[in-house]
Amino acid sequence: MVRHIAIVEDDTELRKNYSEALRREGYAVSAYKNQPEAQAAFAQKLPDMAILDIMLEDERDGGFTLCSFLRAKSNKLPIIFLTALNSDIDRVSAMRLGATDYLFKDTTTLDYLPVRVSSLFRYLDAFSKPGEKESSLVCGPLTVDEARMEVTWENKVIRFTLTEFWILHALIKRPGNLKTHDQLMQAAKTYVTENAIAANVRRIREKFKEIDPGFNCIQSEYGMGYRWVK
Amino acid sequence: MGFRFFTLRVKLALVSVLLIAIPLIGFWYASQMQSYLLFAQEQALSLTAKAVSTILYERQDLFESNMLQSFDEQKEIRAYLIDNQITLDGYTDDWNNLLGQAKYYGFDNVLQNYGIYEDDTLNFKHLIGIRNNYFYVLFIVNDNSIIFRDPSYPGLNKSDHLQIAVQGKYEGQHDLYFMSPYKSGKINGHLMRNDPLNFVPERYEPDIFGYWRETQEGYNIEIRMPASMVKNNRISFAIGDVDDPVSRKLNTVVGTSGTEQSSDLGFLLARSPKLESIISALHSPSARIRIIDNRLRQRASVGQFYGEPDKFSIEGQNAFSWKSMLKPVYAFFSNRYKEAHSQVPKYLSQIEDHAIEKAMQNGQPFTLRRAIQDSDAEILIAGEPIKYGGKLMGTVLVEQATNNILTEKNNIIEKTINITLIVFLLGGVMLFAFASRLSSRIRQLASQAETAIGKDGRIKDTFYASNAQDELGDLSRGFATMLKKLKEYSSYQEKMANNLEHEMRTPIAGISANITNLEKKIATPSIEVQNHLSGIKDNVKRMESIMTSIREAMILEDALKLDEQTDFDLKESLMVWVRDGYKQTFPEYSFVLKFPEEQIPFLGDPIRIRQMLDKLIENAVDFSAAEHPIIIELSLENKKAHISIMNKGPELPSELQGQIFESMVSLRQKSDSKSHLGLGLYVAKTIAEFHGGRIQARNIGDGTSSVIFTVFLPLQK
Repeated sequence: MVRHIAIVEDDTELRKNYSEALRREGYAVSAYKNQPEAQAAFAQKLPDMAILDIMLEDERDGGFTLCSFLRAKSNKLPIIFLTALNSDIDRVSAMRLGATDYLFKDTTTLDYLPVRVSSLFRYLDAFSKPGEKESSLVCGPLTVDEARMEVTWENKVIRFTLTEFWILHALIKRPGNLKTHDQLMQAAKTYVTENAIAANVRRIREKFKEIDPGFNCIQSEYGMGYRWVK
Repeated sequence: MGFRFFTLRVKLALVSVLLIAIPLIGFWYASQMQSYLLFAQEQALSLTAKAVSTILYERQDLFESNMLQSFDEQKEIRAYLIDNQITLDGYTDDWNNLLGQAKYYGFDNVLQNYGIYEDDTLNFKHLIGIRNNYFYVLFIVNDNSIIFRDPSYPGLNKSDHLQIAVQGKYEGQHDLYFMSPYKSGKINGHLMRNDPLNFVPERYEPDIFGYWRETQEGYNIEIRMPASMVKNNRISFAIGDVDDPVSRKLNTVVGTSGTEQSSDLGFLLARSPKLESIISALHSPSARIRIIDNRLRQRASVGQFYGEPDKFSIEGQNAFSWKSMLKPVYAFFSNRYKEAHSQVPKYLSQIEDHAIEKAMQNGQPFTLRRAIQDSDAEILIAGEPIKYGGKLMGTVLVEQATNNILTEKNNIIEKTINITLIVFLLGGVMLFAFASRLSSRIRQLASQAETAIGKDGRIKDTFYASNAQDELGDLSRGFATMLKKLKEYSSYQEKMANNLEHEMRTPIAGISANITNLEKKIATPSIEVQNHLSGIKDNVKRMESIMTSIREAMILEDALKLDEQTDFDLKESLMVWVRDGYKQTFPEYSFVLKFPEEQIPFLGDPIRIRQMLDKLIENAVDFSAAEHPIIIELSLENKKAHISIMNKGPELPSELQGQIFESMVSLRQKSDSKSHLGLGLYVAKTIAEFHGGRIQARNIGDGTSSVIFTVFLPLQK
């Protein structure tokens, strides 16, 4: 079964190239250059995955509109934001609207995009096979379902982006061990600066703290990296 | 800002000195008024003088009764005013200074002589004065032999005696009184009979009495008689002299004028009650009206020329009040004068003032002013001639001291001083308040303007435009508008950097995506093609890293606020960073780390502190040759952690020392593959300041060409 991916991107070059790269990976790709066009198509048939830019032509948050539209139709559909916007506000908005991942357009996008796409499909598949829980990591009140990319803290589900999930996963796999920024970067299958890693760690902490204000399991180590402590 | 003297407040105070104009105008007005009043008073006195003169002119009877002139100057007897008490004791001492005025009667005044007369046989000096409606008369008689009255003889003609002749009840008739004592002592007058040959007195006259005292040269007689006895001012005195004690024959009679006929009587030149009663109707308070005859003798005087007392005189303060406290102030600015004068100006008792004399003899109306000793007041004198039949008979003098004018002037000065004091107090308080308000508003504006731009150079939203509808309000609003525009511009600049970064990202991502796809398409690229591709990739990455570092620097301050602060040990961290970080990153360089023994716990974000040190180490590496070690020293001083990074390398140019921490300032001259936007030290400074510290760069200056960067971080926040 060929997965169908919809790319909504107003920049012609990017649309063309991203479509090409994903097709090369064996996916069926539909590309749309603006929100009305995409929405019309989605209304007819939902894709298996949507990769959305936020700013679409003259719409400042055309991507958000599409995300809400898709999420209303399906809560399983993986939605990846691929955007040049890098502010916390945009990230938070995207997560609120139910985005699965939030990626920053850069020179390495095509190096990690296929990996992420395939990972997301794998997690999606895991959901369709109920009952298998053997891949879960349990660490105190924390449960991480590796296969389904599902994190619970004290039995409450926390939604993370793919990057955050992989960073958390890397930390939790060996509790107590120091993970340097570089290691975390590799685990997140991305290439970003140390500050971007730090920002991701900060967002992970904040999400835990929303549920448990006393959360203090991720510790910084002399600014060299982080470790998970019980 | 320090202490300044010429603040707005002081300047306004200096301007307020102009208020002094108020008292000056007041004083000027007072003196203008004074001269106007003086002029008016002169006019009034002249009018009074003219009125008196006119009345006298209409009273022809006065002239016909020789009120103002005598036919015979020889017969004139001049009466003086006596100020003091006269004791009737025959001594002359109580006549004081009048003694010099005593008139001599001798050879020329012999009325009868029955023997040999020589000057030293009999002569006398005579004085007559008036006091309290009594005439006091003094005779200083030179007589070579004194013959007292014989008790056995009833007549009064056979001994030394005094004759007094006055006009009788009717015109043409006269009364003659004789006084002759038995011995030295009290004497009384005796009215003689109408029969000139009978020397036995008709009766004893108690109203005329006095004292007879023998002296070395002769005798003195002092007598007193009521002024009412002298009618029409006609009077004569004579001394009868008897020298032979045996024959008791009258030898000589020397007198002021004849005593035997009423027409012989002399003229007493004294103040005339008749005249005075006429002019007293015209008399005005605090003015004196005098009639002076054409021989400069005072013939009538009514009123006092003095006026009101001086209320600001410093002497004699009694009640304690704020007014009495201000009295010296009033006294300083006002004029002094007295209600009365101990020393009467000379011309007033005797006309010895040549200017007045001359003016009176001219026969024209005149006004004159005379100063008073020890007083700011003057005496105004108005004169008006009295003419009768084309002949100058005398002059009316009206005199008034200017006390009342000075009182008016002093009242104005007092009011001026009061108003000035009130204006100075109120005005001073108000001006001070106004100036304080003004300068506080200006200072408020200045401090608002100063704080409108934060330490980081960003414009804060703390400036509130004033609503005041004045120039300061305009200035404030102008500032607010200016700051708003500046803020718009700077936020436009910030946005532009953001937008630029955002806009650049898409094409950069596009290039990368294209290259990635291109690579996939070329199954086996030649080495040359590979080189080109990787060259393009590297350059695109460089562009991206430039964009990223600009972005991170732009959002650094906001990002810092989101960071989590933890307690960590600076010493341990530093050791880890050097060992696992810098030594790995820059393997060709050597690092020397110095640190104290104790731990240095610090509250902050270790990632940021490391980022800060990263920038400083990068900077040190960039400017240092690999053979020189980079020395990192951690120390603790005054509850502050000092982290120094020292490297050998080109010194900092002195003119740039303060600027190197600013954004976009770079000293690098080496060209290498890395981008140098001059953001590193700016980031380091921002992080240090966020943690409450500061950062400093200086040349060591010991000739080794070394540069040291020191970060000071407070341990307790």
